[in-house]
Amino acid sequence: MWSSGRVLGEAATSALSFSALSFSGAGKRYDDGTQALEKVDLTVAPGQFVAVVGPSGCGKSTLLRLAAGLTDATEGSVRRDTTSVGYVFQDHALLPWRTVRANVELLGELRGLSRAERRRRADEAIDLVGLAGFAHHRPRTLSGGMRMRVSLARALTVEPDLLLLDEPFGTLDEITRERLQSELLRLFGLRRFAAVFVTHSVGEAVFLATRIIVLSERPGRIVGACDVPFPYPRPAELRFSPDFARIAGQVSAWLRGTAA
Amino acid sequence: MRWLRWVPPLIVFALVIALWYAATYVLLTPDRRFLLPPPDAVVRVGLFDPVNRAELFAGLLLSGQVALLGLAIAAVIGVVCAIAMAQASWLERSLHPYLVILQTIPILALVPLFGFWFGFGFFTRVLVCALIALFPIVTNTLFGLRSVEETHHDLFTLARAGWAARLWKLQLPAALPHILTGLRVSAGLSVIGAVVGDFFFRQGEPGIGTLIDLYRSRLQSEQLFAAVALASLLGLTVFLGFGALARRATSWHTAARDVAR
Repeated sequence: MWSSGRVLGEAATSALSFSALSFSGAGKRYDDGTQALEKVDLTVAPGQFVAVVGPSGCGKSTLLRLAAGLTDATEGSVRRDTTSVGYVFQDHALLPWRTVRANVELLGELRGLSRAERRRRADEAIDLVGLAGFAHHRPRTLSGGMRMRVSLARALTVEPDLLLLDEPFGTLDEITRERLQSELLRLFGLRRFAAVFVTHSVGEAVFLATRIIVLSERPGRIVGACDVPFPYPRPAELRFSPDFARIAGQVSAWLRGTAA
Repeated sequence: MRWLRWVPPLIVFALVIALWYAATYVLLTPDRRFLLPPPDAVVRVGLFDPVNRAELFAGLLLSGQVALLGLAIAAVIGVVCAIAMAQASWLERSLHPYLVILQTIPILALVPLFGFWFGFGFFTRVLVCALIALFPIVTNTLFGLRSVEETHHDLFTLARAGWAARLWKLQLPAALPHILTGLRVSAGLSVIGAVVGDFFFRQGEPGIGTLIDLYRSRLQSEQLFAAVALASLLGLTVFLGFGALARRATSWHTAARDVAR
């Protein structure tokens, strides 16, 4: 069901099937000489949910920035075959002087959508994340979990076929975190975007993803990958099943291997 | 019980007035009492006498106009300069040393020179205020434009925002609390520039500073004290006014609320 051997087969499958995002031998060396990522081969098929797990400072964020085109690979290549990419930042990145609705409208505004169209998309996205009553609140008055919902709503307004998430729930408490994980899966079920979700939490990765990639410490390279066979929707109790524990155990073992 | 927090400052105010009376009537003999006239005489002669009052308020109005116009000019030039410097680092490298020089040379010492060139009229008074007020606005605005968070820039980059959208929808709103802080500092400086600059202007309409100098030379101490009090009031009004403006305009910004208190 999973094996390290699959890592090697990754490049071969990418050539055969259509993919939303593919890295081939991609690496990133920053100007100061730090090698953040090395020889990463990764394909994300449409509708696939890939979780990238790794220790802090392993280049997970760099991988996401490469995927978004915010920075260019210094080795190998990154190819995106998408019409629209959504990005959810670690610290929600809401503009504090804008209301919830104005924040969610921002991307449409910057892309030059008509006022009516961006308003429609914003209201729809706000409804979708369950914040209908909070359109006129400012981020400062919201809880951390609600701010993250706003941030998700904003990313959804671009109607992404690829959604990139950079440790979005990292700073939230356990209860809020689990609730938002289920919310995210509900949105994933509705919109069927491909997702790349960066996290340092093994449990989060197993609960969310169809496929898990494990990165080593810097320079980050793929040290393990496996598929997660659970069908959606996934109930919260899944976290306590033996299969869940088995996969989480394997991912943890890969992670421990990197730390050695 | 909000009014309770006004009690301590009011007690201090009462103490100061009491000390003032004590100094006037206990320390000073009647022939030297003109050095520190009692507060009631200052109010009576300086503010209730119609001729004196008209003269003082005309001076106050003129100085207020000079200070605000100078501030407005400095604000426009300062913000535009800072935006230009934030867009192009070569411009900042070229201009910054001179801004520091502008800040460090005593502008008030240049007033006689400006008078020599441009005459001692309204224009020169405004020019002095604008020069004094420029530096804090430029530096605070530049700092504010630079303080935008990296992820916010990424957000705009991903949306392929142009520089105008980035400036208008991201950098300027983020800089607003800092711009207002700069404006408030500059407003205080501008009032000082208007009042102190006046000491050099003997011709034309008298400003409040001109009057202070005049009353001093004529030993009219009640009017002198009234003029000083009004000049202070002008500075205080400007300070409080900009504080209130900052609080209203940037209620979303937690740091701004602390600054504006």
